[in-house]
Amino acid sequence: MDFLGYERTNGTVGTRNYVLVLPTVNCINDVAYQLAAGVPGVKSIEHLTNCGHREDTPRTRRALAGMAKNPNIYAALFVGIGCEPIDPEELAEEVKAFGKPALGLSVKSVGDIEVLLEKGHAFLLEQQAAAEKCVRVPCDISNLFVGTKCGGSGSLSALSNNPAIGKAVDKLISLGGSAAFSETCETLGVEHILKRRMQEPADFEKFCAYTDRIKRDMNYHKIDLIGSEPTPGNIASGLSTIEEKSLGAIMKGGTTPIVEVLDFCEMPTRGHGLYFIDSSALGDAVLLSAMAAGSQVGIFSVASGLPARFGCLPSSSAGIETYPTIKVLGSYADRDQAKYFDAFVGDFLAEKISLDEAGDIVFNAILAAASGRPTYTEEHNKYHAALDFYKQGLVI
Amino acid sequence: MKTCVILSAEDNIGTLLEPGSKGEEFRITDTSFNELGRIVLLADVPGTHKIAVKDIPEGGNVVKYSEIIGRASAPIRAGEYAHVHNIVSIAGTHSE
Repeated sequence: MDFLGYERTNGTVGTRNYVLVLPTVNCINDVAYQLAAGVPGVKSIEHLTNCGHREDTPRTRRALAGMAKNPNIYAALFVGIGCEPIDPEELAEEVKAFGKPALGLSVKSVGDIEVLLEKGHAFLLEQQAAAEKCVRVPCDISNLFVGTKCGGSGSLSALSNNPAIGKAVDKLISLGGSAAFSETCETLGVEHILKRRMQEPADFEKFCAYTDRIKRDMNYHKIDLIGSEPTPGNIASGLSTIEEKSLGAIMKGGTTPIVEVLDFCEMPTRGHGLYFIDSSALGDAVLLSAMAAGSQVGIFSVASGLPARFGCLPSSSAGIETYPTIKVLGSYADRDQAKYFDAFVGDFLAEKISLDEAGDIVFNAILAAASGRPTYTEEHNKYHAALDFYKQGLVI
Repeated sequence: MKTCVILSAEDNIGTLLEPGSKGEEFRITDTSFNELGRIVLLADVPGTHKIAVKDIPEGGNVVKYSEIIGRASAPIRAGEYAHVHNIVSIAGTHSE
């Protein structure tokens, strides 16, 4: 089975074709924005972290490199000041070694902001012209890697949208493709189930380090998760405990073995299949982690409650501009809101379609988005997500 | 008749697909919507929320998907509304 994608010279396949400007520190966000605005088609993404971090530096660096290496990106320009811990020139070298055009510029190395703007503009003009020569060609579906995220979870999540997405994920993996699920907090209470699905014993140890960190923080701060996991909205939609939410959340990952457990923004090394990625449950971080791992299409799962009723608003928009993310609605009662979504599977709850058919609706929406059909978010949303690096360490 | 879905035969709570009123009878089904029995609501319950389908003693495990999703903080009779007022999380509660 094929989709229409962009074949990259390094063998990866993109579903979009962007030249991207990435700031290595927040201080240069405006310059990145100016550079992107100067060449039609070029995108920039806001950087949310300053230079005051230590343990988070490797994760932030990996996220930036991963964003540029993503197959949806034709070429990347990193811009920095020169006094931050992440060097734009080193990042560019890493991305070039991965087999795609990249340039790193810092104010320190070029000596002047005007020179940086001039050099950056010239690079973007050249790369955007080259990118526009790329055309979509039939590519095997085994090249596709989807990332998943759920929002607006309720009791219906486990009955409708998440199992439908799980069916689509199982089908994609059976055809040689890959998928990821994450949201570490939403594995609390179901660790024993995921353990059975992990193929490498070392993976479970790696995974437990992620959940232990959350448990350690809960105990240190003497806080319970209720009110945050599940959220007030989740509770209003019928979810009572994190265990119940987790059991529904992991359904997005389908039923296949977990072939690899990945750190936030780490790239897979063991070939195709299902991955678990460490991340917070915040949408922008989850989608960033999948994108930096190489995913070219995202899936945002919505059940019932308020998020189903604000489908056009930012907080459920899944708005990383270079990452087409289909939104799936599972609630039958909210079917009048289906116009805000890329796939509606709520008919399953009205016994009008089978779960396999619901899975096919999601699968077909993935294929369409992969082949270039704009997602609802791409067509309508004005909100563009920033880079949320899932900071865990000391903030200085 | 309105539907209360259970995700596995071991479950002692089910999810109402529509709101229900005290005294209203619901059919209990599996996820393929095969009817497994019937139950009368002991309280008004919002749609997508849960009821006990079996009596659960105080401190007993609350089971959905044949997995423990929490403990009953009070006895929950079959047909009674089951939510945060009578279910507490185990994994989401800090230890002293």
